[in-house]
Amino acid sequence: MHPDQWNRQVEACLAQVKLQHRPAFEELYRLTNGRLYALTLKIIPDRELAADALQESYAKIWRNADSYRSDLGGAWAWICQLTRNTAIDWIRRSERRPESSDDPLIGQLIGDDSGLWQQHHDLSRCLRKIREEPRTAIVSAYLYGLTHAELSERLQTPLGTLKSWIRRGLKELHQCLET
Amino acid sequence: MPGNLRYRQPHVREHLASHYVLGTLSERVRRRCERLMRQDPELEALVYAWQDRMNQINDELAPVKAPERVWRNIQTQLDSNRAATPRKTGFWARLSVWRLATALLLVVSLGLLLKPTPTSVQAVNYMAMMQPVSAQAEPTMIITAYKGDAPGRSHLHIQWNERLDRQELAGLNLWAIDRDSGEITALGALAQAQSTRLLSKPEWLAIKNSRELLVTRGSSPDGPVLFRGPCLQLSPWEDRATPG
Repeated sequence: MHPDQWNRQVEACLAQVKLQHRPAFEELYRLTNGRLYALTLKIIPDRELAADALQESYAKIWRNADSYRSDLGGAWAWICQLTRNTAIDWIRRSERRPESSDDPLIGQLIGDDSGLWQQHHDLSRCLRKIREEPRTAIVSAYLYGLTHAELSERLQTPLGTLKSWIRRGLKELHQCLET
Repeated sequence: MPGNLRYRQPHVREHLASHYVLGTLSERVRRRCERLMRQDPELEALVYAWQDRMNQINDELAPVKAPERVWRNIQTQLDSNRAATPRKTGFWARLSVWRLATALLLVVSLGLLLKPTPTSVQAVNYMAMMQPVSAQAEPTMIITAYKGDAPGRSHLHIQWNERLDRQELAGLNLWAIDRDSGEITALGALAQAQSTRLLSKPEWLAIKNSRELLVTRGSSPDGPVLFRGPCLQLSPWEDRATPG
């Protein structure tokens, strides 16, 4: 299915879930569970724990769909943010340290010639414009739901430096994406 | 904005929104940010903008099918909440209404379309979220149009917002406004679409070519407009020689 068509279907399902329409919720689950589970697994590598967190995410989607504002942004982005927030809560409450990762995806996402980003040249282009250290910190924080302290440890960088990288990197990213 | 004036400063708002989306805020600060978003539309808009920007990363992840137990547990949770909550006191309770409505729609659809769709939703071709003309944020109903597999089998359906009180439909009529000419086509009494209303070929074409649907009181399009909503095409359909 073409990504635009898929996004429109997710949008339509969430519009109906806002009205508590259960078949639309089932359809939304069918459309999104694989992608949301993948996203959750990046933050919670334990598959059982990730499945529990995913279940809670869908319960929240059902419960909180009426707070989604279609006039402000995309349904899929809203669903992903809710799911990421839930996964981040789970991993932090479980007091498990995120596993040290040698995930090749991070290298591909921050690399110049990854072959990824077929759909989203703008974010890729703007990420490449910022220095490698802030780029790695921003993408790692987003993908793995890491705190500043965890990132500082993983990237072996003083906390103050890391915060500064992220702050400046986000500012540059914002400026680039707005132009 | 009630509370801390510091959050009124644009650079603080921007910082908060970007870090909220990035996921680096502590749980306590994130909760505070969510409270502020409910009070401050500008902060909420900034968060949505950052969500859309960063979400592009999620599109690069290869899907991993969730274990079967996840959906089973969600269903159990929905059912148990429905059973445990007295009607009209919680959102779970409304499921019973939807189950009934869905069952009714399913029975009609089976007869009309001759193909069972027990667990999936038929692809909506056109949808209009009907807002009251009065300044109310929530849509009152969604009107959906489904293309049939033969002339005269396309149909229209109304889905009420169960959070709001249903309105008496007697005397209300539905109209489609053509996107190019502005011509208005009558789609009949709204009450007929409460379940599933079959559409004639001209009616289907009127919806297909409409920019907006209107609900008026009385049998004239010049009557008082109660609800209106732009008509959106959601899924493509094959334009056959015999549409509608």
